[in-house]
Amino acid sequence: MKRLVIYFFLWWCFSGSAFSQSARSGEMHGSQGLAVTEEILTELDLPDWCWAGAHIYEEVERNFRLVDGELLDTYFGKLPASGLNDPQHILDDEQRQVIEELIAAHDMKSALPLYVNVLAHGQKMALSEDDVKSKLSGMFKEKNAMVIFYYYGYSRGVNGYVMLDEQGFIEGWEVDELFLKSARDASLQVGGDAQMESFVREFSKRSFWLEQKLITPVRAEKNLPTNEHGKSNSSGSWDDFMETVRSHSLTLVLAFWALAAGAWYFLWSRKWRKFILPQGEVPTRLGADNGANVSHTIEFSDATVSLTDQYEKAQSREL
Amino acid sequence: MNLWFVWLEMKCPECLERIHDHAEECPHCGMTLERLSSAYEGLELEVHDGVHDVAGVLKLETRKQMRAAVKACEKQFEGVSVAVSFVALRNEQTLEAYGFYLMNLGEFFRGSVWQTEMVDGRGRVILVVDVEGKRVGLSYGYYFDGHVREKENFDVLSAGHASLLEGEMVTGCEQILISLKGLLKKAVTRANAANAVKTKKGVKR
Repeated sequence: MKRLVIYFFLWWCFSGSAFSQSARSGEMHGSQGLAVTEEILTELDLPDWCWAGAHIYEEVERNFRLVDGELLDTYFGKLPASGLNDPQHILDDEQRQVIEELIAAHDMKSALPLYVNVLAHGQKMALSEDDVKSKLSGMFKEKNAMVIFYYYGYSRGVNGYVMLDEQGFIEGWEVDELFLKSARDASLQVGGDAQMESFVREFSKRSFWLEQKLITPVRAEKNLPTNEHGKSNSSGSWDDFMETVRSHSLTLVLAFWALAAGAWYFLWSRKWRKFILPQGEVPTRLGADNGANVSHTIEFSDATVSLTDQYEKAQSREL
Repeated sequence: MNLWFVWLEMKCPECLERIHDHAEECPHCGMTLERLSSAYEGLELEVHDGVHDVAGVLKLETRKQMRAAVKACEKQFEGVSVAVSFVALRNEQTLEAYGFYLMNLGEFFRGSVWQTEMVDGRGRVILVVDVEGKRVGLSYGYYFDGHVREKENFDVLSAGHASLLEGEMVTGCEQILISLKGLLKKAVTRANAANAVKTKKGVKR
């Protein structure tokens, strides 16, 4: 009976009920704990074919390990320069690079910088929400930020916070929707390891609307003096133009020099360049010292004789 | 054969048959410069500031205009001199032979300075306009041998065709001279390249 139970247990494990297939490694991961598994297996007198290709190791992700102590400090210590914080090295180098690029692309366009903390699926923090908030406040010190806690392998379990310098933590259905819908879309679009990348991309896109709502544009419209028809006078466009010029000064200077060099070369070759005809001994003929060439001539006596006719005549003469 | 591939040929200016580049006289008609002189005797051969008008088509103003055009044409060149000749040829005379005659026996002046001894005539180009026979052609000095294509020469002359048809001789010649400048640049560049190759070969030997 005992043996039957054990065989059933093994079948249950290998058929996927208790094991999950990782797309990243292509290996079987147990979820019952290494010690228990080993204990059970040693009691068994399994045939050799059962062991062929089998590897037993503990999968940390499934153990609901508590994030505390030093590990906790790594999440609430210094601000990560790249915006990505993965102290447990859950992501591989390639994934890390992709996520960092996405964060950088987001930060370039947005006034709400993105910070992504990566945790393993099923992990829990040994902090209450208030503690997390107070730690984040200490970290960001009244800066704008969107902080994500992403549980790798389960995008729908994501949570996070949006902070604005003066207002502190922003709450409301828009923020909830931002996280929920980004997670939902990511899980619908792709599966496996690409889900996090998809989530960050979706989140970055969706955060635009939140940013529009929360943050007043830096360059607000000016209160220009208006004429009697209520239309603003056009002096603003000059300021805009000058601002554009200032912001692109290096490009403009380079373009100017490139154009100047081009113009100088054009003028030099067309107007100033000296063409020197080489001189020396050349064969003479017909008793002439200077030249004895004969070229085709053109007639202009009759408008009905076209240049084409004359060209064809010259060609046939050459033949 | 397309004229683009044809270099300016060494031909007899009288009978237009091909001759050898060392021919002392035309093997077809026996023409030499000396024998040609009798046919063109009596023509005024003095060319002042690149303009020669034995046909009398230029007025004072247009002569100045023509001189300016000649000067502009040869401005960028060293060793190249340009001239324009307006002539009314008789029936037995040909434009080619006249160009050849003027090229070799013309007296060229720059202002009041006689240029014939000072400037190498082998780098000269003469635009000849026969106002009677209504034909226009170009004569090149020896230095341009093998560096000018027939097609290019034709294109240069074509530049002034419309104006010449209208009877506007000066404008037509100005247009031809502007176009000639481009051709001369190409020819001089080719001559320099050929010269460089020749020098390189000489050094190797």
